[in-house]
Amino acid sequence: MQTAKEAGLIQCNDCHKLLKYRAPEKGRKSCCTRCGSTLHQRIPNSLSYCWAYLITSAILFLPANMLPIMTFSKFGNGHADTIMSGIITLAKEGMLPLSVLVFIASILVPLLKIIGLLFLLLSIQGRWNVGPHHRTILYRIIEFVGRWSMLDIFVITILVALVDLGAIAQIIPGAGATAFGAVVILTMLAARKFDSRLIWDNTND
Amino acid sequence: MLNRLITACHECDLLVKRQSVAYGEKGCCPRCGNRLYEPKRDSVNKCMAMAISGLILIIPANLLPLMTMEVLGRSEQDTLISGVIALYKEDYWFVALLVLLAGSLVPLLKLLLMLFVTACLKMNRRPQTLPWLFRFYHEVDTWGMIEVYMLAILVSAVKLLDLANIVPGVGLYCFAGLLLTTVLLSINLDEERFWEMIETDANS
Repeated sequence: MQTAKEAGLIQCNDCHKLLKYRAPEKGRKSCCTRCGSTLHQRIPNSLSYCWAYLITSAILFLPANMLPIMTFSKFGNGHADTIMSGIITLAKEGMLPLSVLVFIASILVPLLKIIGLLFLLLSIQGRWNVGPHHRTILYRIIEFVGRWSMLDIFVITILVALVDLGAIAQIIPGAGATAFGAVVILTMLAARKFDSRLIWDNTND
Repeated sequence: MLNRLITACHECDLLVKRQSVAYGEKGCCPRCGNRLYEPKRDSVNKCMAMAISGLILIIPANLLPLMTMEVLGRSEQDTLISGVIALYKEDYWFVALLVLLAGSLVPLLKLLLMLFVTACLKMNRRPQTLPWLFRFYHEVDTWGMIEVYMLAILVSAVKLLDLANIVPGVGLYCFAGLLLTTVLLSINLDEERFWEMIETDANS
């Protein structure tokens, strides 16, 4: 079993063409002959970028959950909802399946993404001997589910546009929405910057 | 040529001998199980067809009402764009921008790029920007979230059912059609083949 890096080859990250590796001269970069993208054996500073995005999103995760994401005012009485209180209201109103769906998309998925990426980063930097196969699957799940957290943002958009009946009933967005949107984007960026090949680099599998 | 014989796994960098794979089958990395290649029949034609249908549908999907809420004798309509405008008016420009990008601009950009790339491949033209454009398509791919938006429409409709009467609009059907074309496009897209075509004819 030999990797491309060990064999002196390099694979383009964008078009996946396999090329002979030549170290670029100082101050220059080597580009893929097929698609022109800059060649890297591993994404440069992958872990640092991933840490930066991850820490930022972890910090923003707090206001995202504590600040109201929208305010529903009915006949002048405002009622601010955070993500969690909105889910509880849904469950109380007898819409249990829906509340479970929103809970998974808005709380479970972002939380698991942050914890999962944290685990992947620590496992690489600490050279933990945890099955690389399982870690790859974890990474694939993180990459796949990321987008679905946008669900709540879209729901707010639709509700704000629809429920606009002036004094009778109105829904206005809350500051939590901005923080939550940033969390989703930042965790997606973190997952993109993470180079899954690093998982396999220090294993003898 | 190097690439005919071997390839590397993009997820674990293992070198893998290329095996000929029939349509509908796929070659996987023996170490991490990642899908390496999966030839699709008639990929360029199908992707072009889907891009054209998508472009036809995306305009009404964005501008016609997705649903109408009828309450107390009043009716409110919601389109993709009106949601963005409502958020922007409340000074939530960051969220508005996110929704605009993920809901309409990126899907539109993807369809335009796909149409251009497939048209170039079919007409045997290889403009210098072609590799760059196809790379760009790949780059923005993750940020189009039509399927998530569809789920959000359903969730908010259910949420509002108690409060008011919700009537689906023409835009919703167009949006569902758009979702279908994007899914079919990504299923039928054979990136490997596209890159080979972009490369080979550029030299001849």
